[in-house]
Amino acid sequence: MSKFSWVGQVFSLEIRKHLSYRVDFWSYFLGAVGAQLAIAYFLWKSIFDFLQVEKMQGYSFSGLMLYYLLVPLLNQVIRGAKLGYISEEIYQGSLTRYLIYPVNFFAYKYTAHAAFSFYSSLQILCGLGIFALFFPWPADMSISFISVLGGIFTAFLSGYLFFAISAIFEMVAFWADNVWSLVLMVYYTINLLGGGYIPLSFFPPTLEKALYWSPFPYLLSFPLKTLLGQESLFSWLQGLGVLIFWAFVFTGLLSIVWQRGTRQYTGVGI
Amino acid sequence: MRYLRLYLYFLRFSISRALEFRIDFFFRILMDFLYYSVNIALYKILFLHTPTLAGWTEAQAMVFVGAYLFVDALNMTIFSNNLWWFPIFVNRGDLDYYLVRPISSLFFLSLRDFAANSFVNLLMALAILSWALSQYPGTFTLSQLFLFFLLLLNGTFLYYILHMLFLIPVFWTHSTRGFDRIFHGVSQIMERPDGIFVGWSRKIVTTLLPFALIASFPTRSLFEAFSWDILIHIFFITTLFFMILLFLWGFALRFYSSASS
Repeated sequence: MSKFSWVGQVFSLEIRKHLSYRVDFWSYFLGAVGAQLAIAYFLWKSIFDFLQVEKMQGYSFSGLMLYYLLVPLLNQVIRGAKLGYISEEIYQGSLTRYLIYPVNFFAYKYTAHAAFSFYSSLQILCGLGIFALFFPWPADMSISFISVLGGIFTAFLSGYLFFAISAIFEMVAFWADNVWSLVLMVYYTINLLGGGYIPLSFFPPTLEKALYWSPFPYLLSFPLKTLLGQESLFSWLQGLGVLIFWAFVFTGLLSIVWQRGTRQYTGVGI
Repeated sequence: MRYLRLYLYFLRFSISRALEFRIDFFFRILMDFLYYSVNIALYKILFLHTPTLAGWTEAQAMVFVGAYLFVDALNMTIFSNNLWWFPIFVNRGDLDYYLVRPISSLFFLSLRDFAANSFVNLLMALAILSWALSQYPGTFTLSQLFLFFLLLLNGTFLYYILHMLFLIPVFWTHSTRGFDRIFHGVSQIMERPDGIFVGWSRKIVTTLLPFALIASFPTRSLFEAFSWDILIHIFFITTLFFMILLFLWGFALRFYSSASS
């Protein structure tokens, strides 16, 4: 047996677990994705109609719609199944079993996270198909097979960065009695500063430039723009460099918080 | 009177429990502060690119933002915690505890947990709304303000009814959260001015999914001449949906098979 054979087993177990909650999975697709797209449609249609313009900040109307369709789909790939995946273990005292397993806790959790990301990435293909049925394909987006593959690959890297950041906040549970609201704060911040609510090109130019040095755009906007074919090879490699830099920074922080937190951990839960 | 006295007990118990978890208390205040900032920032960014949105100026849109944040804060304070637990209770069979009490199970389940920490945020949302109203260049009469706040209270109640209607299918689906995710998607209609919806979509957001009546129509009552038609429509829809909720609640309970259902 290889040292990493457990990875495949955990991966397939997680996929089977998610397949058993199909209502949740598809209700997300219909509700979060469909409703958000419909609301974005009416909001931006009223703005485009009022201003009588073809493009805003580099986006045509149908280009913007594609953007808003992909935001929740990519968000799901990047963010994984749910929040509370570490804090609940700490609060319930069930972290103990991971500490005695011959498997790294974060490797185990990240495998589960990646399994959901893989499963969710199928929705991206469904979403693109449905978009093609209802909207004219935007000329300002050069989506190709390569850009979709590149976008999904970047989303998996972004998923790791998100995993590391959220794990740090989840581990505040070693000291605080509830971190649910703290983790939600991270979600709100990423949604706004990562381009989830509105593309970053609509931000004031200086703020937009400054943001690209922060980790936020790499948690949504960057993989999204890669998928839409808006990144040249050079800018993609440059962005990938920044993403990997932040991934290292947060992995280091994660390791520090984990070491200090486990010293606090009593194993009995709260 | 009995229900009012009971609610005061719920309040006392919830406040003392909230004070036990002080860090969470602090985090929740921070979280809502951030949520409010994000919403204001979103509209500020939109207005960098357009002078009006669905016929509203930036000052009018800010009153609207203040209005839906106020409704959200009220909902978070009064109903949200309770509705979060509801699907879990159904799936675990914990609903028994609510059904055997000698009071309305819907009342008990919906109002038992008062979020004391969100009450601080309610004050914050009220401050944002007051700021937005004071920034508006026009003036408002007292009767306009009274009607506005009355309609916002009605909007909060309507929001609760709609949320319950999306959660009740959990009796049949046994999914982890009912249709909560669909609700959180469609409820964003409440956060957009009703003027962006035209034609059939307008009919939907004012009748079938009446989220436009929660904050947008009340805000409209501040800027437009009073209309009985609109007022009657809002109260009619709220009453109708409440009756549907009562019927559906009774119907769904027949399918509840208690522990481990």
